[in-house]
Amino acid sequence: MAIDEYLLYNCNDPVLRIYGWSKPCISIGYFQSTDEVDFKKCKEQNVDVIRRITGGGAVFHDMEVTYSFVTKDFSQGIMESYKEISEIVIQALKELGLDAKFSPLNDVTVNEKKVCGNAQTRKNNTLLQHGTILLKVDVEKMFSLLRVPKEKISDKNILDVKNRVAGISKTFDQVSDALKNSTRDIFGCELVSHTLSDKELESCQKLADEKFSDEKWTFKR
Amino acid sequence: MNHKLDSSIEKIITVSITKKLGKIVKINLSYKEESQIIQSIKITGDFFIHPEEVIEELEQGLCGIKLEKEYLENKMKLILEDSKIFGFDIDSLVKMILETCGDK
Repeated sequence: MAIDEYLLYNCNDPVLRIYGWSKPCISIGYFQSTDEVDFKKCKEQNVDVIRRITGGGAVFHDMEVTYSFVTKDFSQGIMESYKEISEIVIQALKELGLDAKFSPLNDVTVNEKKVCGNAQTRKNNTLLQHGTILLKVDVEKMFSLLRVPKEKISDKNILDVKNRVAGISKTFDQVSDALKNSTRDIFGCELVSHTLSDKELESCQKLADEKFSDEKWTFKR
Repeated sequence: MNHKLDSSIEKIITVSITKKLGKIVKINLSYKEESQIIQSIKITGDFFIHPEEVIEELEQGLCGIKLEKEYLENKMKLILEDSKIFGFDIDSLVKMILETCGDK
């Protein structure tokens, strides 16, 4: 999260970032209440909780590929920009043989099932869109970590979510390579690999320590 | 605590709206029963507002506002004038607040 925010404020050229998580984590949207999360269960299962700088819902980050795309050149319309940037994911999934489609406002589906959720923010005349491409989904575990009213944790509801959400059963590297290929194709550009310098990492760490790890930020709503 | 002297009623309201984009909006609201003035309000959910920080401005701005359609609408329109919202609109938010506070 800290690196995403750092990129948002410090990039002149467009950036595609592809990453995973060192351990499972729940991210909640900027506007969500922490009441959505069962912190006790998360602690028991060694799952971190973090608040995003973007809106949208709670996401259980586990078996997935996460990406961020940062650009100063974007459509002003929210829906339009989601559609344009999500094309990176759609083309990548098509390369992997999946019939991916944009599902407004912020999802990508394959065979009517959500396989990718996205969220945006705009700051400093720059747009950040980050999203998660599900490789596999553990709906039971996700339900156990989120505070869903008991009556909603029925077999039927778990089945409903299972019917609406799916993993794409590809490897991290397959998706990562496909994302790079689709970005090259869509923007007609070459990608230049960049490793964050010590100074950049220091700034990100400062953001992680002073903002994203701070309870004031996590529990702000 | 003497409840007769305290005319403040805190209602914790959970309302979900399923709109075409399927977002959920929850409102926690407290208001003075006698004057019908909002004391505090928290609007949470999986919706989107750009810029995000306007939600705090909106919540602060609604404090001190009377629970009447016109006042709420005017304040929201003023604060959200330059914002883009996905997941609810001003009309539905006003309706939610008024219905949960006694269907005005």
